[in-house]
Amino acid sequence: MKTETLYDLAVGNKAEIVDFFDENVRELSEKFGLFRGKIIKCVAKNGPIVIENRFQKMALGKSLASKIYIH
Amino acid sequence: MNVMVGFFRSCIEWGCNFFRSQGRRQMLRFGDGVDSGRSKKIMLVGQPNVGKSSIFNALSRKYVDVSNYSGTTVSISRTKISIGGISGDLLDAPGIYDLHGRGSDDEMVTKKMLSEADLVINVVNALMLERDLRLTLQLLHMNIKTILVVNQMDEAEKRGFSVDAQKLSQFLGIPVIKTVAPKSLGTPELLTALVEAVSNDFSADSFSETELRRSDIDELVSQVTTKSIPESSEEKVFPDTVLLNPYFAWPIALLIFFLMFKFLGIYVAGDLVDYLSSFFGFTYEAAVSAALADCSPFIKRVLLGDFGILTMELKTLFVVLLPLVTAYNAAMSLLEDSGYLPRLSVLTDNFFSHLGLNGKAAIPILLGFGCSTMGIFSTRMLETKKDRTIATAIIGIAIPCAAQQGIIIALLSFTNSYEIWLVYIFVMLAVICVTGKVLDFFLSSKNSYLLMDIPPLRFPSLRNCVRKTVFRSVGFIRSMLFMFTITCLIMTVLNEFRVLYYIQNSMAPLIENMLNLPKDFANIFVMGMIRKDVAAASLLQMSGIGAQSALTNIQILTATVVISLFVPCINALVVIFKERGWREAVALWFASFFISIFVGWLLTISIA
Repeated sequence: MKTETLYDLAVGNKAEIVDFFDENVRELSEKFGLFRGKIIKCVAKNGPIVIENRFQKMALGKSLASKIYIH
Repeated sequence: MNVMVGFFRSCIEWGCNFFRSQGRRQMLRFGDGVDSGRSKKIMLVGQPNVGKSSIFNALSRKYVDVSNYSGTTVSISRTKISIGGISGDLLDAPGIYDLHGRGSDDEMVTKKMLSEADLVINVVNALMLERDLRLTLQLLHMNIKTILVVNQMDEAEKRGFSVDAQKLSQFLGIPVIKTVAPKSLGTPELLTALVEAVSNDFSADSFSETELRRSDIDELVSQVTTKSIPESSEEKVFPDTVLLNPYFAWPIALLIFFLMFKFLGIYVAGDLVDYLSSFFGFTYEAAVSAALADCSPFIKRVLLGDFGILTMELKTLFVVLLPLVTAYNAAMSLLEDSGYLPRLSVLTDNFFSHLGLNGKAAIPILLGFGCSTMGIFSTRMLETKKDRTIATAIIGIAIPCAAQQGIIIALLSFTNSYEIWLVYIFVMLAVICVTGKVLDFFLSSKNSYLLMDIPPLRFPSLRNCVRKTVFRSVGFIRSMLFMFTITCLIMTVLNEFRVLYYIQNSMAPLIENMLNLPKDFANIFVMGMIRKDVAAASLLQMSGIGAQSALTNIQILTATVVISLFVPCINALVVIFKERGWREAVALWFASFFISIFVGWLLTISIA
């Protein structure tokens, strides 16, 4: 099931990255340390979604966050 | 006459030297065609915002811009250093994420430079080792002699996180140094490691990347790091829950910009400039006039006339523009070093997405409010050509630089009318939106994704803020002095041979009939083609601020809008030409000329 995307994650919740929409999205995400199996936490949603990956905080636009699948 | 010939000769020589040195600096920045002879090339490489430029500053004791967001370094900086008796070139490259991916043009330049480097200082963030060590392993895979610098150890220690440098060094087979670059902690150890690396011909063990997968890096990081406090208490979440909250973030942003406006517009552009002007008028001008009393009338007109180098130029430059630019640079330094700008990008992403951009464009556009050239250079941090073209057009057409803003605020404040303020802001926003929308329509490629690091909020370092403010303000004066002198000389010569008179008459239908402005405004157009801030300063004088205004409120509004939207100044045009090519530079010049006249005319007929 790849229906839930990163953009669906509610503020304060954690999830594991399970897949990417395509190679472009995967390559871009991995540059920023977002690999399959990473546990991330949503810290804010203000248009873009702001997530925490351990000590790293990053913002993803809706169009990108909707192409990263989580579990 | 000999004095004049001598003066002109020195001006031309100074100008040639200036442009030569600027050209050389640009060439060095881009790193093309520079032959370093036998000296060693030492290159700083790492992901964006890990502190490469701080290490560069600490090692070279020179200053390059350092800020708390990704993409501050947009071109390669270089300086000569001497280590252990061996001279070398130290190069600071823009951040690079990956050596194998399809990177931007700047990443390609960094990769090319990397192949020529004798030694690489790979800077990583102590808190993001899992992400950053991927690049380290790629460097080692290429058999590049590397020293690993684990920077931002203070941030790591604040979170109870420590790194075993010795263990990491043993595993990687290269020297590993822990640093806190802004405080120069670890710099002596790094210098010692550099001396050893430069003197000895050590080569790093070759790593096969296929052997080291993601899970191996995670495993390595868990082996070399320890945490002493539980994860839940690691982050102070309070500032970000407010700064990234949809309900609080906008009021806070508006408050910050209101305070900046108050500081720049009222205290600096108003009180400080008034005080300096009165001192300049009474003391300096009287002294200079007395000293040059015996000179010929022509020299007096060149030096002391309406466009006098010693009067108009120095007064505008040091009394009006320098205080404004310095104050703006100081305010921006605080915002940049605090880490607020990436949060502003998050906030403005929705707005910019309607203009074919994403929130990241907020940073170059905001820097364009300081100086257009800096903003246009910073568009390099944007991912796609479409993003860069749209952001450059917005900066070139509708973003007044710091020097202009102060004058615009002073001009509009003089009208004592809130309606005038609102109309001005509305018109400028409308031009920004229309420019973005139109370009988005014609450049029909897909919008780029927003993905950016949000650095931790930090209390700005006073030392860095002062250094940055001084560095940028001195840069402003250096770039301004020559162009301003040329502007004054051109205007004096045009005035001397009555060419200004003919220009005024030929432009009279446009200026008097279409814009309802006095025909003297033609002088401001001519100056604006060289420097917009000089033109704005002349408009301030023309309006008779401080005395009875020569212009009505509507005329001040029209003139302010026209000069704000007028063609990019020569410096900005050169940067646009370099960054975006001649077609876009020419198109932008003509577009801004017609937009400024059209919007001014539209405003005149609407209000009439």
